[in-house]
Amino acid sequence: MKIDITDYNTNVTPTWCPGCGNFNIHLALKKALVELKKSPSEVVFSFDIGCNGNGGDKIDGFRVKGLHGRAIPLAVGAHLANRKMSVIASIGDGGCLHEGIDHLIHAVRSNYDITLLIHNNQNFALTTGQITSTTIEGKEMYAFPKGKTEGNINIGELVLSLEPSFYARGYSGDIVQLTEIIKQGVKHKGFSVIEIMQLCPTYNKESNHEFFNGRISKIEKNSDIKKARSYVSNKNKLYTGIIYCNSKIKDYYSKLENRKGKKTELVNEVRNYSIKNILAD
Amino acid sequence: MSVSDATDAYELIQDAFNIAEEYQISVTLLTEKQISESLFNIKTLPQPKKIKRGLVKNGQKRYEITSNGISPRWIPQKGKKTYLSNSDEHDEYGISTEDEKEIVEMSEKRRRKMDTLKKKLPQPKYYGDEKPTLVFVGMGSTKNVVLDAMPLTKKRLGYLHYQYIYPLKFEKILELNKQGVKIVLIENNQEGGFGKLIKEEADFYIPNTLRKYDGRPFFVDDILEYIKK
Repeated sequence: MKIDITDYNTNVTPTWCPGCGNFNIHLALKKALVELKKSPSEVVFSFDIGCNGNGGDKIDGFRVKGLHGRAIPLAVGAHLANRKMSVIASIGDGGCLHEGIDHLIHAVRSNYDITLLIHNNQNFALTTGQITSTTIEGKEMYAFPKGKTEGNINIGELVLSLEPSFYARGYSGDIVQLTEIIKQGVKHKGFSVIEIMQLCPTYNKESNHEFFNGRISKIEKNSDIKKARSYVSNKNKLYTGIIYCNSKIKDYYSKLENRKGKKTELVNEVRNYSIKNILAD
Repeated sequence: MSVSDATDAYELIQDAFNIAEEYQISVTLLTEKQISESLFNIKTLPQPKKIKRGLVKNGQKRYEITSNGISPRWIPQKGKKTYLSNSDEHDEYGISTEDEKEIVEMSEKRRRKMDTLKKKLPQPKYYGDEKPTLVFVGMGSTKNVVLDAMPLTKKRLGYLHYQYIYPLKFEKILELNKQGVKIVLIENNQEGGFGKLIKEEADFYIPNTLRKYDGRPFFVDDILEYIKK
């Protein structure tokens, strides 16, 4: 059966602001899945709370919308239960780097075969623009009239410090490149972290299309960690593309000794197990 | 739910999973350091319980409004009807809603589910004298000490043991009170949370309490000393 991009549409009217980067991110995500020949019932999307989380209604598939910052553990559970489903977690920079930062760190380390889309609009937008770890230091935001006090987290530097198997960066204003990045991320067998620099015309007016267009520099797929680190630490340019990919790192499930040779998925293995052997002396 | 010993733990964890899946709720199974670090001698474990998953093969409305409050649940799989499991209030398909009527209907459906569950849950277990003069009411490891104290006293002792804490079945407590039995709440904590729950659910206040909160579990002597008074 032919899969069409409209298969992924729902009849819910988006509540995002005009010009929100989420429109393009969803378009790229749907396009990538169609090009990968995946139907909505073969995909699990997990969301948390936030503007991106409100996208749970706006794309078809099996979807879980959980608590703030918890899109990753929901995705991990869905993946481990049934690897036949493609699992994609969507999370904002706020939830990801605040409540959910432990999940990000351990998911990179564990290298579960899922894809993570970090919607980085540099603020908590749904609650009307509070600071996050990626908001530029000194920027005036709600509840911080004199500007943000603390320093920032550079997502690229953080992820690359954890020896990831895949880290890419895209831009919500470039659907063609973002589609390709998401396709590569889904195909990659391991934890694919995709940071998406997202336009937020309501609360982050400074980081607009002109800002990004003047700084973005596209790269081809890179597998040199030193190069990757220099890309993400560059103060003048914003590199996009597959910043780092290491296919030699095995994914979590492949390393499980007790799952070797098993053809079934855990979701189909729910049955009584005898614990007699554990109790026997 | 609350476990009291090894056999209890083995049985209740199975019930916990069955309830969680059939009723689509999160279940909390309480245990205690006293239980998990104690040694129990048991001849054999009971037969494993039947796994109940409450699944249907496929459906249309994942959060359908039903009379018993339980909606059909199916596991995500290729070819099946997709749905959204939403932490936000939602309609029968899982789609977020701010419609007052839909919110009330969905909220009441969940309430009905708890009523359905409450009807299915067993009554608290009663141990001890058939015509007691004093009955302890408690949960968890307190059961073990009260049962150990029973043969050591001539008092007509009883123990009403709660495995299922919430939704709370309180009828037995009211019945004992009607019979003129002295009811004593036994709790291994300072605040007496279980007593507060009984008050909230049954509108019945138990004035007599035996509480211990010195960082140690109850000992048989604590029970014997209390009933001597």
